Amino acid sequence: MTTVTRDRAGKRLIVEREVRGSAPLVWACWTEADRLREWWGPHDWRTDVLELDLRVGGRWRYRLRPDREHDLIEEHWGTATYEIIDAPTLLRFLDASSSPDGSVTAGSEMPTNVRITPSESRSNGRHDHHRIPHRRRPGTGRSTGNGRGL
Amino acid sequence: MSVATFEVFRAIAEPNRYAIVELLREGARPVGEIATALDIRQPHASRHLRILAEAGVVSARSAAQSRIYRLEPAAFGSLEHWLGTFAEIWTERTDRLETYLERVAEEEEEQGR
Repeated sequence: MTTVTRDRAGKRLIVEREVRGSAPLVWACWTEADRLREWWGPHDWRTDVLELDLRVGGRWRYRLRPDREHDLIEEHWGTATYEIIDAPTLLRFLDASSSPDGSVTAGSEMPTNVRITPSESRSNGRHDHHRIPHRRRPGTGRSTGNGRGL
Repeated sequence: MSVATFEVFRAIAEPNRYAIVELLREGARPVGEIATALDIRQPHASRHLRILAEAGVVSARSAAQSRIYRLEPAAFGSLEHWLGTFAEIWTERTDRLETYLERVAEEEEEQGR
């Protein structure tokens, strides 16, 4: 089961999930295009990985699109930039919405940390624990951000 | 993640629609002004606004010769709502990761036999 803790003061979500798999396998799920395709997008959506350069400063670009017939306007494009790569335990990237050419939508950046740790609650050592402090800045810090309508 | 939640996420993730939301934070605007501010054609702006309206992010009212759009505070705008949206996205995402890992484990077991 997934536990989501809301850290309101820190403006972040902490997502924890115990999964079956060695740390290197779970790491591969987060860092290899063929594996990311299998789970990153929502149910009934397809994930296309357009670029994945697993180096600090390297980019991972992806497109999410509905399986069903859809309009181009419905597709979602994302660009993540790797900041920390410490296999197989810590991955940090700045995920963001972007246009198809990869230019990031200002204000949409979400720093994402992935920590893979051995599970404490299982004794066979085959389960890993996830912590994903997921910071989301609300708005862009624009001074009018709290104005009318919000 | 519920359909409604992902609709909101999808609606605001696209750069033009994100820009529209940012613009409407400052107050309601007619569609023509929105198109001008984003430097896009009005029919294009209308399509983006329709997607935002279907997701409940904006609402429209008809004025003299135009449609005036504003943000829907109930559906969008609070930190709590943002957190809820992303909590659902990450719950579904980690469910799918688990499902994938189970499939990998099954395949490995079959190969090991």
